[in-house]
Amino acid sequence: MGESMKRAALFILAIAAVAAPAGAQERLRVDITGGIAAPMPIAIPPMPTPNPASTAAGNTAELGRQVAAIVTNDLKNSGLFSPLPPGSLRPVSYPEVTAPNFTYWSGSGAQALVQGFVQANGDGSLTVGCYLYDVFARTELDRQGFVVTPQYWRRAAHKCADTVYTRLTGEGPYFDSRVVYVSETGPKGKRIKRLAIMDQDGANHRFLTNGQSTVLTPRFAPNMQTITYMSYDGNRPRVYIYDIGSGRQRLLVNQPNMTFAPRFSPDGRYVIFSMAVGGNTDIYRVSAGGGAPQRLTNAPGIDTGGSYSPDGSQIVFESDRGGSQQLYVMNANGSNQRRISFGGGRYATPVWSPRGDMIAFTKIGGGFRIGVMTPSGSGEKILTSAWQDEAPTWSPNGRVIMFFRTAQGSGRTDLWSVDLTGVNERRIPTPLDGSDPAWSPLLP
Amino acid sequence: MDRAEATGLGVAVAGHLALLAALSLGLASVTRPMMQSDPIQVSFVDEVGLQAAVTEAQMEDPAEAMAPELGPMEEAAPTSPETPTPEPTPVEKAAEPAPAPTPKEASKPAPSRPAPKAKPREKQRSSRLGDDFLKGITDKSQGKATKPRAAVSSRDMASLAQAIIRQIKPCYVVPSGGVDIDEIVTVFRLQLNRNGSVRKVSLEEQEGVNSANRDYARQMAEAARRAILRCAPLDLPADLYAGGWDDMDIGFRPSSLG
Repeated sequence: MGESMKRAALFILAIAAVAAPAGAQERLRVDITGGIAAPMPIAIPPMPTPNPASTAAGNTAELGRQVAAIVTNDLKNSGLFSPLPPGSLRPVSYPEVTAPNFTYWSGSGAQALVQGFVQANGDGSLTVGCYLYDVFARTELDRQGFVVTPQYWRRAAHKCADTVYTRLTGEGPYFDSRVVYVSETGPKGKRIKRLAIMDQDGANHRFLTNGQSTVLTPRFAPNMQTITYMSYDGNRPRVYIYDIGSGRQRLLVNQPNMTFAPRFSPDGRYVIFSMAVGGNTDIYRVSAGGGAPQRLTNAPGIDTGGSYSPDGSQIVFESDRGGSQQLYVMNANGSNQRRISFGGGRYATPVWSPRGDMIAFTKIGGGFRIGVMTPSGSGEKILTSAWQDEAPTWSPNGRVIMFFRTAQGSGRTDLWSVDLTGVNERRIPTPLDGSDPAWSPLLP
Repeated sequence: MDRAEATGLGVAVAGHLALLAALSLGLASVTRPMMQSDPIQVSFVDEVGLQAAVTEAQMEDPAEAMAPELGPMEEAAPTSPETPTPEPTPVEKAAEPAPAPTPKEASKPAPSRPAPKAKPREKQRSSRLGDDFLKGITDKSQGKATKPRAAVSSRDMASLAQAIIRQIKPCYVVPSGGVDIDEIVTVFRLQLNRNGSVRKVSLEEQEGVNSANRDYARQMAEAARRAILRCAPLDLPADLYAGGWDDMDIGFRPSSLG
């Protein structure tokens, strides 16, 4: 009896062990690898106003249309979005801004929807509301409100575009920023070069100098109050610091030697530059307020084009100490100098991405082209292929590279930009020719 | 030396020679598999189907889905239509948005065992327990007591997976250029109605998120969800619904583009 009980118990256990897993079949698992990198269709209808009112920047109803147009252009020019044509979008009423008609927008082909409003406040300021919706999920993704004085209404539109851009791509913002560059005009050999500044979309363009002395390679200070550049003032090429507010410049280093290729450190405390002493050009560092320069490199040949990493710990520069122009990286105090470019050809004008993951440069050999590589020198990728492209500068989020292109024959120069992945190469419209662009940090 | 020593020495020499021969002929070498750096599209047939596919209508109701019959497609809270309050600083979040984070599935199904190895055992007639004591469990129709999923053969699973990939992949648009985004694998659980429309889609998990690509993880998940919603309803064979495409996991991985 005991024996058969034991056998029955074992039998039960055995069946239980078999029967339970017999039912638990695993779910079907599907793996999809590789998506399409296509711009996202997005709808940005004109923005209504709760009360049409006249402001220093114009009527709020008209501003609502223009804010939507600025957001549309920013997103389209980034290359990552394809906004529906603004003329095809029906206007949205004010109550609909916070209660979108998803059924209508689902049929439009848009995957995301941006709605907002412009309102005049009692104190003369403007409020711009900005709402982002996911059309498929029928949910709100983000909302922001911006209060600005009328003269900065375009900045509110750029901030709205940045909100949409960062939420949908995961990248950092960059639309609310400015570009300083050298505006050029005149025949080849007799060019007039003036310092100019503008919003990254070309608006609010202003000349800073009158062209009496040639200015090259302007760069922003991180706080955007000053610009450093090299000027041939008095026929001696030297580095100056220019105060945007006062419009006045001062010599950075009070020495007769030729100084050029200046750049600020990310914290704004230092400026690195190249100085030619006794036939040898090396990279020096000096306090932004001026003082005694500290030597960072000491190799035969020309060391120039220094650019800090975003954390300020390293500097990339170009040097021909090995016989041809190549890229080198060193610690910020000048130690551990090592070559990183080995791709064949010559490399110049390196710039470290604000995102930290890439260095942009000009590749020389069979023309000048813009390329990127990682700070260790791997992953080299050439992004452009025209006759002469040079002097890259990064957008504040490390995603877009601006450079200047010289046309073969005519010698005309223009500003161009290209996405980090090599797509969306486009010309930046400027009133005259342009060269040596430098992108500012994001405006606060 | 004596005989024993000579024999031992001979054996040792012969052994060494044999080993040398074996090594030089490569009999004892180790082959290292090639490292694949790029993800390639493979479909694994990992269901060891020791029983044949059930093609005739031996269709029982599939296991109850864990979600209620008419689960909502999204879990977003409705937003209240309030206007943002103006703030003096240029950039101010006027109200906290209510994004739609998808809850992780609290419970995953039990890990699978291979299909039952043994045929149902014969009952032990001589026990004191009743003859029909184990009636429910030994019933040939796959253990009704635990409400299992009907069987779909491994071959059908593989072709089903290919059909689903073909239908969803064209809608899978990924923003490119982010740092290290091809490391991120996003897995969604998708439950479909018999007509192919979506009953419920929920985020199961995300792997491969590190400090470099953390900023892009949410966009990867949203691109995956959008792919499912855009290409739904799916057109799949009705006889493979139960236990096949009624409830599945889909893993999305952007490959390195550009």
